[in-house]
Amino acid sequence: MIPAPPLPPMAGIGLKPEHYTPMLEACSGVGGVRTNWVEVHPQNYFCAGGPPHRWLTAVAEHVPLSFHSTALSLGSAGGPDDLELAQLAALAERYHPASISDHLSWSNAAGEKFPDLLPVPYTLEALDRLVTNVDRVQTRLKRAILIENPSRYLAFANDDMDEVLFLHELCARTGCGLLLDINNVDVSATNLGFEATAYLERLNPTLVREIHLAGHSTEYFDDSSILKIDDHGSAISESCWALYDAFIARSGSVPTLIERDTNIPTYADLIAEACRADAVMERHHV
Amino acid sequence: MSEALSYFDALEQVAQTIALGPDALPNALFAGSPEHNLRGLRVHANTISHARLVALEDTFPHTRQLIGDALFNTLSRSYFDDGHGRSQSLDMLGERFPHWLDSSGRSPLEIALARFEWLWLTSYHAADAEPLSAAPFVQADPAQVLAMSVKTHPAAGLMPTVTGLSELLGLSGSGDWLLLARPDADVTVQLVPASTAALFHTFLTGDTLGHAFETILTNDADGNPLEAMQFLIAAGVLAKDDRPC
Repeated sequence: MIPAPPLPPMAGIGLKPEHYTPMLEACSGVGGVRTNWVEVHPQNYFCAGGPPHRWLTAVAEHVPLSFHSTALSLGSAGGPDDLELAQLAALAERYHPASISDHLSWSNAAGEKFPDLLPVPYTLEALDRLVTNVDRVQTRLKRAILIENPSRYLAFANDDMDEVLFLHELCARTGCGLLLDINNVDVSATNLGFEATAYLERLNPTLVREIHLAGHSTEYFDDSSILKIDDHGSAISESCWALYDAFIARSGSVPTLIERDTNIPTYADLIAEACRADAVMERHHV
Repeated sequence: MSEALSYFDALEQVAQTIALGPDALPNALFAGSPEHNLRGLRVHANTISHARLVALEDTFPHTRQLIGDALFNTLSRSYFDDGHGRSQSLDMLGERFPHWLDSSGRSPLEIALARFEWLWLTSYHAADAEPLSAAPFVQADPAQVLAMSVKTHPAAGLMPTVTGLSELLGLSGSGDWLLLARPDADVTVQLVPASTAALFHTFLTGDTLGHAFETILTNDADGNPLEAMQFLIAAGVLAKDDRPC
């Protein structure tokens, strides 16, 4: 297995088509602040050719790429999605990204593709299945991948372990790393009733190779309960920034993504949030 | 989850509950109260439904505008309820939508516009290739030219037009066919006559220029394949076919 070349331990942005021009202008010295690295969803570049590849080729000439996959369905009982894996392998061969990641979740079952990240029970049987699937993906990609902790709205009855232990075991048995989404910890902690700070304190920081910062929406109910929803479209919450600050103080600088998939901010606005993340890392580790 | 429930069965039950709704929620699958779990399942069901609907809207923005937002949303839900697109990735789930609009009795203009939008996306995402230029013909031996194998460019597409479509797309000119190409970065669209469309069709699977001309003249003795050929080359819809014969 070829070790993946690392992303720089600085902040990067989730790149969308509306950012191509300002990002490339900044990299060319025309104006604006240059990003340290960018992350894209590889599924948006599975096409054979055309403008998407022209843009990505131009971007890759300037900054390291991270591929954040959303559809390998690593938790599927029948194994990861073969077509998705083949397309991802071909794209990785073409662009040599610094990092490849996907989620601790599943999206394929009974012949249907669910465009969502569905929860995995934290049982020994599930762990065995995940180990097999992650091994298969890493063998095909010839590198270690990163696994992202999910946003959870449901907890299975009769789990054998909690999420932190499950992730630690998965890393130990496959050699994969972790993509720590701090917003997802915040969302899951609220929805499932555990302490986000305790979760992060137990997480082995040496396994974390990338961090995601994002926002969420909140629903309030008549029975006083609340539900946090990982909507991929809200600004990073202050609770997320506080958790990030505490984790960075313990872990050291980690490549950190400003993630937004809907209500896309301007390039300048994303860079402003990236600068805030860089400032957190500098404050703790200069 | 009960003791006997395997990992496979647990995921199947989650999938079933999302597909069938609250009545399918098994008692012992999740920890926590039923109210809490139904809220969680609703988040997943909404995410899935929203992602599919938005994918279809993004694939057919002009068809949506023509039909109207509310009706397009209703039709989209029916399309998915009929089982279409559910086994495909988001970028492919609209593949059968134009055909489904046809079988649902929608107007010829709506169906043609949806077909056009799918063809446009196919052209936009097609493989890159060097379009055939006229330069090699200038000083070539005519026999060599006629023996040259040519195929359609990967980004080229052709479809019949219907009344009102060219106006909707802002196209000038005349012709019963829409020709799409992507010789460079942008997709181009032109109206072409049946004779040009016929020549295009002969090159779909690759053909020599000589045989293509012969076919055209056999079917239409008054046709002018040379003129049509010049047009197709200028439009960037042909490429040299380097496959071994």
